[in-house]
Amino acid sequence: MTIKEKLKKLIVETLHLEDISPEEIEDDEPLFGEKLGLDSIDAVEIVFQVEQHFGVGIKNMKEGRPALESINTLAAFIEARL
Amino acid sequence: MKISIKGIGVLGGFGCGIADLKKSLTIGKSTTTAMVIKTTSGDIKAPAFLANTDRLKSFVNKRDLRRIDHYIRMALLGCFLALEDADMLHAKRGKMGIIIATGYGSTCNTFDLQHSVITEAAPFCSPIQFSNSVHNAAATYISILLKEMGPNLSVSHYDMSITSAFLTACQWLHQERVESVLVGSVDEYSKILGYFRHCLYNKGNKKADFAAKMNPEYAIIGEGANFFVLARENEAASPYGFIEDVKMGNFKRRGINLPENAAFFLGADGYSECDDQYVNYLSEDAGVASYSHLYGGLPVGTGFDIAIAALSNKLKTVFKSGDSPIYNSDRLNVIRHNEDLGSRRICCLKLGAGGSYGWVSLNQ
Amino acid sequence: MRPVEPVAIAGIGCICSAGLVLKECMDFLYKGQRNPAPPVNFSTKLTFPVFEVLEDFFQSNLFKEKNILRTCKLALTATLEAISDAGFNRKELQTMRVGACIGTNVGCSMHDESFSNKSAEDNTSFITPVNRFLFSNPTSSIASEFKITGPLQTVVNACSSGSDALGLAASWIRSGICDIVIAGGTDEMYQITYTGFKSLLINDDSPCKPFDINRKGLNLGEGAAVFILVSEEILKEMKKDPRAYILGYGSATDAFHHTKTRPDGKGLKLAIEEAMESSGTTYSDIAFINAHGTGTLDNDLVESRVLHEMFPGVPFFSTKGYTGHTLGAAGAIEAAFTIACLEKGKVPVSVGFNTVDPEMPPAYPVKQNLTISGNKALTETLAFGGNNSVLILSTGEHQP
Repeated sequence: MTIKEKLKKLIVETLHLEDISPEEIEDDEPLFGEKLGLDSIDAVEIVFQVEQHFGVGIKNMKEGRPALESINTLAAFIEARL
Repeated sequence: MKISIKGIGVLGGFGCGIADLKKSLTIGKSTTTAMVIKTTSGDIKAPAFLANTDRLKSFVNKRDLRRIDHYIRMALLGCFLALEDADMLHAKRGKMGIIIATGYGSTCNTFDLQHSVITEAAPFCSPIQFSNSVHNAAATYISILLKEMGPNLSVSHYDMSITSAFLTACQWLHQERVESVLVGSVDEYSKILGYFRHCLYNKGNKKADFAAKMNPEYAIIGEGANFFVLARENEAASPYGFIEDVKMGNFKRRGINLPENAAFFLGADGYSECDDQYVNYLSEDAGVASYSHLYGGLPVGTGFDIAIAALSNKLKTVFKSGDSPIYNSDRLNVIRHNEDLGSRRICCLKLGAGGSYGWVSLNQ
Repeated sequence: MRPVEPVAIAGIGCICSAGLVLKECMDFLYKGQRNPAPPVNFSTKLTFPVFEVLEDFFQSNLFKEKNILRTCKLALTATLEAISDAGFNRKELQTMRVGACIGTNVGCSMHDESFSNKSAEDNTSFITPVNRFLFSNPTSSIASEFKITGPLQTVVNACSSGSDALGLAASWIRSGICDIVIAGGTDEMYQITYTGFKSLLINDDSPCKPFDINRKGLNLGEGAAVFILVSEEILKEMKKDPRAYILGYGSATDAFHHTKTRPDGKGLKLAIEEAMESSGTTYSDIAFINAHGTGTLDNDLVESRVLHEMFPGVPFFSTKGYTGHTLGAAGAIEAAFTIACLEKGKVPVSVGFNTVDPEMPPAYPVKQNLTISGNKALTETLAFGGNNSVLILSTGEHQP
């Protein structure tokens, strides 16, 4: 599984997005837009899950905000730190 | 000014809603679920009364429920059922207070966090799980879903939790802080509690005398939620009756003054060292009943007794008691058949940890 | 909300990282210093600074129960100071109708580590630890230690628990169900809370800076504050002025989000309005405000806007720069500080604040110890989950 595929699966499962499949998340769409309906707790949960599953930490939301814009930005952030 | 019970929402081993509770009272039993706790020395089997929260989806859309765990779901469903029963779900309402009581708190979350943060070598903590474990999480969710900005309170004082919640609810109404109060309680089953029951009722246990006197068949761990809508009332009639009084104290240090002309619903459920002491405080004439055989042993069980008392007011019937041997029944006037309520009030009494007591009385 | 009778506070006890008794805490605050550090009471790889009580404060020879949780030890220590401050002895309390109402965050969790999922899996018996858990509730601990016989309640309203406990306890006195209430808040520095807050990314990795442009989040702290509330009848028998009065209490919920503060501050405004109306105080009578001021981006911004709108020009400060955010104890500890500041006629510098945030309105917290006049003040707490609680307090020689 690619990093992007793994991230999509992680997001759907750990945020309990039952009505969306991982494949339906576009690589470049905003994660915090209307479609997924995520909020700030989801954001920190993604940070936690990324740390658990990829070993890559995000220190604070100043660092996290640009990284969490989309699957693309998040995958790039992780890859740069692996 | 009286405090009337406008609506009731309950869920537990007996089912979901006041109609299921009534059915269970009529039949005289509820269905247990066989739980299995895996240990290194083999499986331990423990029966439990579990609550089903499927009906919550008819009140809250799926997406709003996605992060919500079983404990909070039980509380939310109890709240919505109570509001529905009170015809207040969609009606315009005045300022409402929200009070949620719990004996154990969000137990499963707490122990999972304890494991992930303390027991594990590399501590970790899911933010969603941590947020849900904070004791006022359920009250927060309900205020957000109802868009209610009135006073909001969560309390947790083991077996006095629901009584203290009713004390505050009545005070808020008397003070005219709010027009109504959504007050209730929730406790959940966890494998820790199942295991605790096993320790207590294991044949080899020498530590808890009261458990030695109790038939384990009457000590089933329960989970569930019980919620009420209370409001100030000046009109005479209220089908579920009125909350007449709430009292708390310590019976070991000061005794208890109990109301007269009452049927007593006792909070004996197989988990309190004081289960066999009710006989010391009740007269031989007073009719007594216990209903934990329908909802199980949980700190907020008194809330179910209050719901049953309200039903008794509505139906003018006191339902027959469970048949536990804990009551020294030759010295207590146990209600063995359904009987007419007459003009009696109903007093829901709990003798609890540390000698504390709490009672809530309802009148018609 | 109709105006209510003031409720007298006969005695106060307070323990936190700033001091083991209230006077010591206040001396520390007026010095304007602080020294948070990574936790020492439990081992952790995380290094976010906290404000722990570093001394071995629990005088076990003074208490019946020794094997109790730290949250209870803090509560009992503060209670003993409060009882002594009020001039009561233990025997007297046992003859009166005394209730207890304590706020806590941690104190009601099963954080006694001697039993866990693992012990169930290992088939270890844990009846004794479970029984101990049942008594690890700080309110029960106080009830057992001082043999009290009135109503008991434990408030678990997250960060506003301490303020709510005081407000509720005052109602018990007014309604006549108790002669005396032991009320307050307590919380220990606890590993799960510490890790949990870290996971929410709202901790500052340096000493917190409430209201400052460079604020990054909160520091956690621990402590307890306890108050002895007494009825008018008891007060008459005491033949002395009380230490202080609770003039009013208000609370309201944001109904917005589980962790974020409501941006328009409406919940806080409603709570302030209720507290002010119930106390019968005019806005110009408020000498200062002890703000919640955690040092998080959201809280401080919203709070500063509300304070500027409702109390323009009134000095305000946060003491969390000295104590950290003591969670369930915060409302009570800060009520104690508020009363002590009124007594002294002086408020401490809002430590951690140096540079104005241009996003905030043109009013900022006190930058140096400030002499104040007036005998009424407001203290507010904004909790996780959106509850806002406000207390209006006055000194004891106030004639209600």
